[in-house]
Amino acid sequence: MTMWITVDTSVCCGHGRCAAAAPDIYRLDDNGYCGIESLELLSGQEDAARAGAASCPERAIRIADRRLGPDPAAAS
Amino acid sequence: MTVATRPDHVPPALVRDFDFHRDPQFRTDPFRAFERVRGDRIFWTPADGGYWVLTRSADIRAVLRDTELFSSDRVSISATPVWPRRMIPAELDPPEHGRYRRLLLPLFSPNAVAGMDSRIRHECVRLIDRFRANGSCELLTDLAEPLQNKVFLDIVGLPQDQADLFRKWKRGLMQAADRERRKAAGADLIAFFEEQLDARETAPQPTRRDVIAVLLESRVDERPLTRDEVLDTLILLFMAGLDTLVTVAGFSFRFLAEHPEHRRQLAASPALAPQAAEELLRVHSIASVSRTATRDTELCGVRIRRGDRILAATSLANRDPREFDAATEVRFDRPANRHIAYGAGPHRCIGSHLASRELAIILEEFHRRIPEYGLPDGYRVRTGGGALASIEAVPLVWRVA
Repeated sequence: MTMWITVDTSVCCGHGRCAAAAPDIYRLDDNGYCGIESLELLSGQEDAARAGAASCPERAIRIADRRLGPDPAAAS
Repeated sequence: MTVATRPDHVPPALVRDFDFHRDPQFRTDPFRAFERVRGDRIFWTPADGGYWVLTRSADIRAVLRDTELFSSDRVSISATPVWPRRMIPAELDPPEHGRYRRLLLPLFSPNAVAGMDSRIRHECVRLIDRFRANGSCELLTDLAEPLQNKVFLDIVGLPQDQADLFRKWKRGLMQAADRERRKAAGADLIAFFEEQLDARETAPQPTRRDVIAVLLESRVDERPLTRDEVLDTLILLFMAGLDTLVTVAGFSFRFLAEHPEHRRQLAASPALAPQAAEELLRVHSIASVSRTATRDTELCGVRIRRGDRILAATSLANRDPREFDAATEVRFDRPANRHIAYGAGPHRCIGSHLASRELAIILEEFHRRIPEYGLPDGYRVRTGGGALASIEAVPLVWRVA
């Protein structure tokens, strides 16, 4: 099953803990904030993605079997 | 500030005797001293003009995130205010805050910091090699402080030969109990900053990418920064950046000196240092920030009045058993260590990635060279409370082969 990560970039404060836990998945921008809003995971990346999400002090990262978003249409 | 009388909206049942500036328990272990209030979710203390204290991670994070309801505008709950204007960007609220913070972010990003690793490591090793054969050192003045001074002067863009003067001003400004000495140190420091800024304006150094270059070249609201704004930023970096890492390193080595199993873990696998650094930051979270309510509201089921101040102690957040399993235990292999030693929300410490890497480098290089050490027999480390917990000296001794 395909998994997606969704990052609420309005909540991200640049802790960088996600990238420290899973640098191949959570790429940071030049300011040190999470540079991705949503990403479809490759097979085998799930555990690393979860570790990154669990490390976020702001709880900005969600993982689901579909792309999540504030707009319900985008989540389908 | 003085002891406040309980305002009418504060229920008597929520009043506690709490004073993190003066309580003698903070003189031996500030983090344990904070734990005495763990049983309350929120309470009010009359100390320093009166303020609320939160104890849970979730509540502290919620307040730090809600910058509209909880302002940072000149709110330090402090026995000794040191600067007459708002410090930038710490004491600004969004959106103003972001316009200034954004300028500095690229200098302190994880990528930028990774580029400094070899220079920091080289200096760290040089300092350790100076005292290694002596069989003793004082961790702060022999290692953490000179290393941090060098890194700080480098990133801000100040001359390295002023390190001794800097130390003197730092002591005067941050540790002096008497107001006149603090004022004098502050005036000297500002004169020094002004001199440096004048020199850089007269002879710009276009290849340099440091804090001073960025502040002098940047525009905010389509205009250059004023001299006052530049100074308000430099003062903040000085207050927030010079002593904090030194203090955390001191607490970390005090812990390691007293906990042989943890010390041996690090000595056996120095590559553990980055994770160990984060865990040591979690249990030695020195910063307690404050906010002011911008309107009447309710917090943790309690009525808060506009103008009420709230203390968010990161130590209380990071030792909250609701947030961390075995919260007071130090586990270098702790999974998902989402501590907020650097704060949370938009004001989170801009130098965090630099500080974490420096601490990891110090831990790694020290234990590679000096795996076994301790405090001198009978030595008692003295510490202090306040908005930034402090530690006086951490003398270490080891056997020389």
